[in-house]
Amino acid sequence: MRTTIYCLMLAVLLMAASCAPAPKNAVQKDSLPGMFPDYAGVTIPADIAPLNFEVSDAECVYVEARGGRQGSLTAASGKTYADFDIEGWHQLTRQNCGDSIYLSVCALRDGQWTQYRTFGIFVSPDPLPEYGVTYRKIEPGYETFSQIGIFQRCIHTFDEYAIVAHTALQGQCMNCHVANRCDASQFQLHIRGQHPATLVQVDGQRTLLNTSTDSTIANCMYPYWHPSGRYIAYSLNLINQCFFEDTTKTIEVFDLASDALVLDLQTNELILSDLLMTKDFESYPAFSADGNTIYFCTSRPWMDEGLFDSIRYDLCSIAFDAKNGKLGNHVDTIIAASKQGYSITHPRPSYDGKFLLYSTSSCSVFPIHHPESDLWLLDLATMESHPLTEANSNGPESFHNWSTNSRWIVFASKRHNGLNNLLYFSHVDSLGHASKAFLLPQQNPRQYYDNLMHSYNVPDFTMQKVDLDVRAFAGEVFGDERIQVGVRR
Amino acid sequence: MDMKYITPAAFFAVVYWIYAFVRPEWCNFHEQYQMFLFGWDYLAGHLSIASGMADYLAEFVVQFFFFPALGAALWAAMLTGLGLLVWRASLALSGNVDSSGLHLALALVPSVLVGFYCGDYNMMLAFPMCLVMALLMFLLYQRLASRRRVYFQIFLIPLFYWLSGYGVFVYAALCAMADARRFWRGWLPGLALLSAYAAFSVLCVVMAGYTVMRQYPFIDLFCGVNFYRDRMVVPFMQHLSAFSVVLMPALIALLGRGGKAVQVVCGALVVSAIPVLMPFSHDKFSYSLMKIDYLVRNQRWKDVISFCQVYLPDDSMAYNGLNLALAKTGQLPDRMFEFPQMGQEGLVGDFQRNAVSCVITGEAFYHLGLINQVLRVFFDSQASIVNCNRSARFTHRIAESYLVTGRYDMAAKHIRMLEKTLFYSAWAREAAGYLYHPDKVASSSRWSQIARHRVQDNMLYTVTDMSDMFLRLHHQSPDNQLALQYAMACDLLNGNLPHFMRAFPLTQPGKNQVSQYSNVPKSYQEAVMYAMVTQSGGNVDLPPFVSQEVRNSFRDFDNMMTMRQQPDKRLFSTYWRYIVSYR
Repeated sequence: MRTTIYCLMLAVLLMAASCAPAPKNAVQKDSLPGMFPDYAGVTIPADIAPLNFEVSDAECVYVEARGGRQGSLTAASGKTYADFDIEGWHQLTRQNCGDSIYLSVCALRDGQWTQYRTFGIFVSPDPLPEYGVTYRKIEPGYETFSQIGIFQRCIHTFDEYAIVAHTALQGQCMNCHVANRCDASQFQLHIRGQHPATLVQVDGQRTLLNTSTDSTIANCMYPYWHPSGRYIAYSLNLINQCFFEDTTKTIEVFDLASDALVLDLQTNELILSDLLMTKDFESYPAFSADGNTIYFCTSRPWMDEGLFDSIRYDLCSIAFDAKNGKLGNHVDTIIAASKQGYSITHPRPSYDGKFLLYSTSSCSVFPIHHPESDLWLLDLATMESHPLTEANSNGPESFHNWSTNSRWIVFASKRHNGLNNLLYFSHVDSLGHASKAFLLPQQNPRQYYDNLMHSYNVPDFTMQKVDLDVRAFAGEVFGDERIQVGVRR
Repeated sequence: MDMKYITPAAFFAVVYWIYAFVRPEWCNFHEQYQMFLFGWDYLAGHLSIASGMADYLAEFVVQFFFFPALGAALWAAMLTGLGLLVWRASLALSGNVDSSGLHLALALVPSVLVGFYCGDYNMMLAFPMCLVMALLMFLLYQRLASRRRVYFQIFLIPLFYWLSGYGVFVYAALCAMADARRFWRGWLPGLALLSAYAAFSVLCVVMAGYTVMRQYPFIDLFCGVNFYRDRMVVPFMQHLSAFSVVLMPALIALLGRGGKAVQVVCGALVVSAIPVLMPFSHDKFSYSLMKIDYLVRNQRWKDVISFCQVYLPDDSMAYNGLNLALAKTGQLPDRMFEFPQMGQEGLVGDFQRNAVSCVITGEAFYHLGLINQVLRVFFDSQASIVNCNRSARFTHRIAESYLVTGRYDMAAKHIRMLEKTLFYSAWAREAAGYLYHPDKVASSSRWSQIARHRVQDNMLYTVTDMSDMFLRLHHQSPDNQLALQYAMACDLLNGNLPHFMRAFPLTQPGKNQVSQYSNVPKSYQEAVMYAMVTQSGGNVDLPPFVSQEVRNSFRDFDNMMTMRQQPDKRLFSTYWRYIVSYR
């Protein structure tokens, strides 16, 4: 027995020695390692979770991170991926704000170490003070869902928490968790299914609304908070989808009708305007940073043209008087995208009032199914747009949002495998230039993303951890007691 | 062998016979709505949930249901084992080693109840597994001789609650009875102990509910996560079966040996109970659909047809299976109207948001070469599994669809998952060799036909022009005879005879004149004749391929219709009977 134990111990020692963390006689290679995720040259905020990465086919990875100003950190745990210590990483990023961290990567293959060209990661002087991000996780499917849930992830660590999981609200669909400017104390969330409701939680007080009325075509859908917290702009969408027997495209999501309106949370009334309830389709309303304007997208009914590829939305705006809760009396077209042969969706004004970030695609109201869809930035001072080339990819990018200081964006992209939306972050400087986007860090990114069957939907930053009494909330959802919203014009 | 073991042995044999030969679809059904993965992550996922261990062990067992003969043996062993454990528990309670066949027969009563309950195909095996775990845990606890073992319950009850969930109440009740009998005789201490254990168990549940299990409703926490497929429901039979596991050991402990006759009668009653009660527990309609699905899954086309000849449930799922089987054996044009039929939906069902109804439609799409629809149906069916399980069967089809359509990253993701299973891993390892090799896929014996048949350009899937869609598949790959059969059947079922007549020449390749047409299937002859006669209003020069038998049959049918009579049996299996009732 004792001999067996000694043999086992020896075997463990030999296994450990076979992947000794310190590289010896490394062969130099003047190229970057094949990394997943590709973090070379990205810009990150201080205190972000460690950018762990895997080197392809490596049996063992040794990474030395050296700050341009000061400090260093080694990831030498003998794993197939660089696994940085969280505290050490945070310290290194703080020490090198405004400078780069240089990573020297050595990989062991067949007993031979290879040292790759050193690359840098720039630590932006612009902080990202948010606690983390919120998002919906859902399998990228067609008409049904099972393991759906609203989650939050601390961006400084790898911790993820369910805000509402499918287990709490079995059989119910949930979507669009949206906070007011990343403030976790004010958020809204839709429940769909047999027990529909719109939850509005302000300072811990939950209100469950029934937003379906005789004067409107559907329940409230895509939300955006007014900065005052009193109003939420919504679109109402009759959504449908069709399926293709094709290798490049499998699904198209479209509206059969859509309108936009504003919900007054003080009176629980929907504020209607004929200008936002036309025979055309109005969608994705969003308040400007000062709350005096609503940006939205509008399209002629595509059925007039008869083809899905004629669905094209323009970017428009309408004034909003927050004091009196009145919508303006005319609509301005900001970008007539349809005339130029493309479609604009998801307008998201930066909170500092300088920019407006939006998605473009050749057609469609749901760009996430369009590989050509990209993020563009409109400078609200010059009214000129440009693509965020560094952040974009060959896959679709969409469902973007700003950090509170308007220097960071988070968005969903299918660039990884064409099906699963993953979360990417990019820095946007004061001139509107975006940095190369980086994938949401994970402890063991290859294992995590390879095993991930879900997509990340509707991501947004959150200043604090979202606190929802899910047990009480579930009781209220299944209790079916709702406050019926009224309407006013 | 001790004669008293005859009852459990016979019980095992009967249960095995039922689930291996009479209801193999029960095993198939359970197996196809789960995917047990070997690996720490999967175990850890289960261990992070209260009652997860019972679910994990049950899923481990159910994966063997892939082979119904093996599954039936395991299920029979589980039910018989449950009975033997109840008997052992009764011995532990009574301290009596002089047990008889009567005791063993009565010990099988909980197994009979569980066997009855399992006819509800939504009962998950995690439930009987938690009963087995509770009895084992109780017997282990009994090995502690000291009175101080009671204090161990402070650790054992929370631990066991975490492992088995609902089983903790069975365990606590058995322990309370044993402890009271052994250390504190009298009903008052016994009741006090039972109350204390029960209260402590409830406290554990509540504490879990307000801490680590906040995302789960209390119904799950009390009655077990995944003990019933629809987790918002807890059938009465679950409580009754669990109660019997507590009651029977106590009852048996009080009984004497019983006479020989009593032993034989009780043994016979217990052994015959499950087959006798089967018609009440196994709903014929649902099990027939399950049977057809099982046969389709295993591509036993002839068996599907013979089964449907005996009993054909009035459900699109059954018709989808029957028509696919007829088409796969080349009999659809000849025999489809031997069965009542139910329109186009009987050929390809509309999507329904449940995990069962569209599975056969998905199989039909697979054989037709509509690969994106295979993906959609199996993805949505998987997403519709009410307890949010994954299905190895569906994942297998999803992986194949991604592989054939060249979406290799996604195929790899699903193949990696299947590699961690027991019975799909060989397939997955083989499939992994095809990743990123379109030429290899195109020339493989397994996928070359599907890869060739699938649509190569843009096509919108639409239920309104399904016949055209099938014709397009056939046009693109003329060897896709299944698509042609479906296109023609679609027109016949929809009564779209002009479209049928236009497409009809496609069924006679290489023949340019009607006079050359030969071997025209019966229903096509009937449809052609019906179309020509109704179009011309009577006198028409019928093409030579319309047989005399069909002509006579139509004349008889026409006469009966004129005289407003019901068509006789002879005319039941004609297209005319269908189209008249359809319209």
